Amino acid sequence: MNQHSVTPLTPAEEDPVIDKWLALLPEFVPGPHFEDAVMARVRVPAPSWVLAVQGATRALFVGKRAWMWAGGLAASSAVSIAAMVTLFVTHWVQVETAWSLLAGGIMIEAWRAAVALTVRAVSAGFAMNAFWGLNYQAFVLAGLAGGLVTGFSLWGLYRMLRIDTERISLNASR
Amino acid sequence: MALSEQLVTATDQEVVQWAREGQERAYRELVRRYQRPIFSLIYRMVRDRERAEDLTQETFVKVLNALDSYRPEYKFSSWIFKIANNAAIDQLRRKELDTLSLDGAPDATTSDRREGTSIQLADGAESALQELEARELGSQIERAIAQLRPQYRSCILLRHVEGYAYEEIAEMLELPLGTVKTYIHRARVELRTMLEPLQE
Repeated sequence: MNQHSVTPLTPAEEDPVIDKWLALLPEFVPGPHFEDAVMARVRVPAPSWVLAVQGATRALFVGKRAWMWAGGLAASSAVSIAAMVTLFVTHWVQVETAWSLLAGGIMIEAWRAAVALTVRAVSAGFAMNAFWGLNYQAFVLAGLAGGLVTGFSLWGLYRMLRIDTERISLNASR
Repeated sequence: MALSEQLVTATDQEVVQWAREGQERAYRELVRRYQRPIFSLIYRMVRDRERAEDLTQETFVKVLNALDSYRPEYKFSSWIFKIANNAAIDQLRRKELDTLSLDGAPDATTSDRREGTSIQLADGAESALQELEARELGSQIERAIAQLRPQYRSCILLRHVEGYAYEEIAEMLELPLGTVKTYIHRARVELRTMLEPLQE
């Protein structure tokens, strides 16, 4: 019997025979995964706090408020750009000096790193050559093979990603 | 108190409210509360386990996806039983079904189909003999109920098995109160006649 309040039988309704037979009726049970099967087809709404946040966010961008937000963002961007331009124009010499120092420093560091990396790679190659007794043709061949493998790998990766992207966009358009 | 504990003791209205607020556990609680009585009613109406399970699932999906339209001043149980009964009656209108058997539908030709359409009783610690007797007896009662007209069947099951008041049954089945009383009276008379041999 369920959670609802059960209305008792009135004296006129009482029938020991019928009551006896109906009391024997078993309760049937649906299959073992019934609950999950139902829940898979039920649209559970997002929790109330999520809805509240969504509502508040949406409300921010509705009607006049949306224009206010857009205006505010545009104004702050304009002010930042104006401040930068003013700084460049009024303090051009200082800006140029600072930039050349900064850029020069970065460039020098980048150059040093590239040179070190190349030297290390070349010396590692020569060391391997000395160890295995390979000649330079083997190096060239290995380099070519490596380049080809890398190229094919990149091409395969590109193909796979392109196919998946096409599938996703197809599914999205359905 | 944790929500899971609260759910067990909460009223249907409270559980529905939590479900509306997006609590999945509240949805599951409603399914747990009503899956047996709803399935039992539908099964006794359509007399086919697979169809009964499909219709019970449809009933729950329909009810749970329409919780926003539920009005708390009405009983949730009345609402779900009404939808379940309508689903069963519609099914009966679409197709005339065979009599109920504890061993599976008479049209079952394969063991899978027989298993799928056989009745699974709720868990009970009975001996094999008691189970056999109960099955035999239960089978005869089920057969008697199955021979009633669908309208009589709904009324007698809702009244005598689920314990609803005449007024609630009238509301659920959208029938006049007098008609419900007549149906239940006639159903009882027919059942008594059919089950008389069992008394001897």
